[in-house]
Amino acid sequence: MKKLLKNRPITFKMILFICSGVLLTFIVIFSYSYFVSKDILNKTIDTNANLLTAKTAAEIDIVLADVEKVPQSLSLLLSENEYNEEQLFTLIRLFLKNNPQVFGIAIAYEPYTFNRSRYYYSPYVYHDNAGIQSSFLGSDDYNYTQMDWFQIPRELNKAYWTEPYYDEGGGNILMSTFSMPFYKMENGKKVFRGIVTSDVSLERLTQIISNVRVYETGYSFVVSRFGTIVAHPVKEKVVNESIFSLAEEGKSPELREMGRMMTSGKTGAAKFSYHDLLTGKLSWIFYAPINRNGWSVAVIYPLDELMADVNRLSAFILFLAICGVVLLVGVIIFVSSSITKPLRSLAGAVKNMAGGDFAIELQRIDDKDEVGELNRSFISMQSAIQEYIKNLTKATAEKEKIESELRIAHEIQMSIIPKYFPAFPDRSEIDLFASLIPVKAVGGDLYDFFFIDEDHLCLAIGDVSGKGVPAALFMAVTRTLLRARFVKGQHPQQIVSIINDDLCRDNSQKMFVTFFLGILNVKTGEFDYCNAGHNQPYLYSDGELTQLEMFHGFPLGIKSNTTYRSAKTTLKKDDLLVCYTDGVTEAEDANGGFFEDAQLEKLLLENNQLNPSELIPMIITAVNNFSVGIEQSDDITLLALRYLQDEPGLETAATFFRYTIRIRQNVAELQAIQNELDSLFTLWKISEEVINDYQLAFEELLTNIIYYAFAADDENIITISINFEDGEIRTQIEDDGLEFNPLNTEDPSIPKSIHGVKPGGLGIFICKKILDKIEYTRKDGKNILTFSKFSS
Amino acid sequence: MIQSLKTLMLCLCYISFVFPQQNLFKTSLLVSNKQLTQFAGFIIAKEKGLYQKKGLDVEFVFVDRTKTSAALLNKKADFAALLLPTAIELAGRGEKIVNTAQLLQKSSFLFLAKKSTGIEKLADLQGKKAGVWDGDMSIYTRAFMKKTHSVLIPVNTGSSTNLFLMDGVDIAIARSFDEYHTITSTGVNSGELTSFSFKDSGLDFPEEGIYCLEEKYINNPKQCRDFTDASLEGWRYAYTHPEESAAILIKYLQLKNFPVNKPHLEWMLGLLFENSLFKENSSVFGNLTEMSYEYTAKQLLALGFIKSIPPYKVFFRKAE
Repeated sequence: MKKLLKNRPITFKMILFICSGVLLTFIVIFSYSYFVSKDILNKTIDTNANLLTAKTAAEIDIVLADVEKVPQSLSLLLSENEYNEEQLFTLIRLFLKNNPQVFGIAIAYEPYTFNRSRYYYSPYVYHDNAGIQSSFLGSDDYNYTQMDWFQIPRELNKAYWTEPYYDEGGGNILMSTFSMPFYKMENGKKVFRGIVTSDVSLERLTQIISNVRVYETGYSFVVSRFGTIVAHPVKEKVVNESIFSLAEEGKSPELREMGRMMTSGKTGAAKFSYHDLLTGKLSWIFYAPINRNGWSVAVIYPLDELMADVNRLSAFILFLAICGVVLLVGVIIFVSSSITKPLRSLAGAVKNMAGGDFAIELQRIDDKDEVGELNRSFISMQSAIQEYIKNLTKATAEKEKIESELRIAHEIQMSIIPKYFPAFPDRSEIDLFASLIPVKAVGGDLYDFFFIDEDHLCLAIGDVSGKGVPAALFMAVTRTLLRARFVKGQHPQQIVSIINDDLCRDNSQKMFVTFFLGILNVKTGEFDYCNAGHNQPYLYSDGELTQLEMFHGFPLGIKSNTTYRSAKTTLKKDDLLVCYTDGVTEAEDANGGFFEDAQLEKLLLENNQLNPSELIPMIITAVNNFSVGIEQSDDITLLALRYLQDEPGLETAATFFRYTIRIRQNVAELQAIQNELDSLFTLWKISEEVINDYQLAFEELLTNIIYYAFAADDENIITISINFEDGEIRTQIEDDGLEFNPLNTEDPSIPKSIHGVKPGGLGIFICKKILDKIEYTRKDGKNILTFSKFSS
Repeated sequence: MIQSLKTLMLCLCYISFVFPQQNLFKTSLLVSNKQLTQFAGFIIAKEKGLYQKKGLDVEFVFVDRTKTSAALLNKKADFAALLLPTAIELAGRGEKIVNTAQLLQKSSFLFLAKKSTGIEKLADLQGKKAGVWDGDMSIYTRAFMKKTHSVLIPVNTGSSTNLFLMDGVDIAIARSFDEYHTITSTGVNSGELTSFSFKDSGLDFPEEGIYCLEEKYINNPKQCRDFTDASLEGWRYAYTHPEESAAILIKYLQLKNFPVNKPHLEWMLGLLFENSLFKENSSVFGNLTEMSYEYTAKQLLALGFIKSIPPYKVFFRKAE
């Protein structure tokens, strides 16, 4: 039903529900009216039918009473007097003449009573077409002593109405006979003499019941005490049929039962399902007895005619109801259309709004009803939506901007940590790999590694408290401090302590970072390290997995002026050092369980032979599998280093060298670098002439960068990488300052005056002359100046 | 002249061919002036022209059924339907009658009592007023009284059952196919009646058969055979065409002013066919077996109604 109504218009639903309700009400009222009317009619019919049957019975009774009078009078006369044959006939004729209801009169004597020589003696006078006729009853073929009209009253000693019969004794008509015995007193005893009868023609009775009119086809009939039909509109039924033969023919036990009620003198009505054999109509039968002789009058009431008035009334009411419903449907359609028209208009507009056209003009409905209210609400909603969309557009733009910025931040964060591997392809002493997977666009973990000098590799890993942008910023600060504050020659705990003091300064957010810093002498395998509250790195050595010493102080940023300790160990060939953040061991699974150190240890033990670049992705995959279906909850950072140096301390003949240094934007740094370069070039066995040329160019270029590449005198970081390979000293100076191409200066080869040369212009000119290659690129927001000088 | 004679002869031949002049043999049957429905097969044979096909013109002679045998002996008709024990009693007295066909092979007689009178068993019948039939029908009452040693006060009621219904007698003789249904058709339910079947009392006599005087049989054997065959054919037709036969009978009986209705007629024909064994074995139909004859005759002999048993082959002459 719900499904049926779901997609139907309001008009349909209104018609359905209202008409259903009205129809239901109508049905109840109609049913009540019908049944009450029927009940009233039933009562009326009962009354009328009972009156009619009683009246008919009374009419017949009058006739029968007249018929009875004759034998009653004659029997008295015959009991008191003796008559000869002539007198008897005279007497009978007189009675017959004076009683027009009587068809014939007989005085049937007991055999040999009237005349001792005559067995049968029964004068009989009757009517026929020719007038009154006389005859005698009784013969070998008409033994009246065995006729009911004689035998039964004689045996019962009382008057008797015979069953209807066809008389062959003289009348030759259908009749019923009233018989009355008469007696004579002999010697004080009542001696039976004979029977006096009077006949009534059944045609006379049929005339009476024919006058009974019951609607169109109803009729009346009379049955005898044994159910035989005495009078009936259909002549053939009389005598031949009985109420019981009709019941048997109609296979109606109810009719038989009704017949028994009739023959037992009851008054009543048979309202069972009876199709009258004559009319074929469903009928009711009302009956009443004729008490005089045990007969019964029945009146057939055809039900359709009986109920015609009620049915007509019902049909008219039904017609009115249908008209009413049709009218109602029309009204509903009109009313619902007036309601739904603006709703449809509104729905169309809303559909357009749903399609994105929020600016569509909604037709205003000024009515104060619900539809008007709905219209106003929609208009308000439209305004609200337009405002909301405006705000949403703005917010989305802002969000996109933030997301863009976060993306940039992520790239920046990723760019400040080394992410290109192999990190040191020219260093055979180590194999290093690291990975950082932030939980958000930007994360709070960090790692870093760089060669302090030819022999010393600095390794760092940290985990900032919290996540997101603040943590990322703090991580960037930490990493920057590491690079900025790193001073060659200092021990890890000194560097950590410096960084801690810097971080504690103005740390209003009370953020902190667990930090591990180690310095590996790649030649000797000596590894100094300081652990500021960070997860203890694992060291796999000689088939055993151990963790490096416990913490050497608080995480950075918590407390300034903290003294940190450091520890030292020596790596052997093939030893594997693995640093990690708690994002690895505290990764959660669907049940809330942690990855735990044990699993990590197991992985390390089982996969210790893998290269770091294989091991770390494998561990990350294991962690991801462990947390499958669970959102990553913390940054995951891993750094692994395998020490490959055979014998510590051996120097190799240099055919390839690399030197990387990060300096602040400060000319004060220049001299120290140049000193170091002198040492390196001497070590790399480069000629003094080349060294002088190189140093001249290096100084000129770096000075220009320091002075001109930055907007302010901030202490920005400049990364200098020097490679020496196949006689080429290849230098790259990288800074993230303003775009500045030192080569983009006017060629001062023919200067008009020294004042006409732009700053640096002459120096650059000289550099170009001295150096074998020089070029500038701007990439990823960085100035990259590359130049080469061949040693030979 | 010769040509004219030839033409006349041809005309006469044509007329005799187109309008065959049937010389029907006139014969007659005694029928009850009250229980005409019991003669259904004869009526059908007459109305369907079965007698005519046999060259017979059968007249129905109405007679009080209790006086049928006397009418036959007095030659009021050529044929009569008599009860077997009645006929054997007549033959036992030396009357020359011949059974040409036995119609009813079983007994349908019974005494009926209203249960309201308290009559429930044979012993209750002692001294009761009994509505009985006299004349040809009386042998049954007499046989019953002797066989069951019952002393009844007989009241001859003719063909009516109304005296019984009016409680003028305590019990009434009836036949299952006729009076029994007449009584139940007055509203008396069968459960309100107690039945004393003659068959149960050892009086399972075959009933109506077709009879004629021996001299008739000897002098007109073909006509006897034709009448009997046509009569049996009438019964067969009534059995095989019940609806048509009922319609014919109703029309015929109403024309003769005999009260009749379809339910009663159907009831009667149904039981008549049952008692004629027509349904069970059509070859038995019309046949009086020596066994049935001997059984009935011996009973009558034992009851003292006959002094000797007439020979079966003299009594039953199957019309051949």
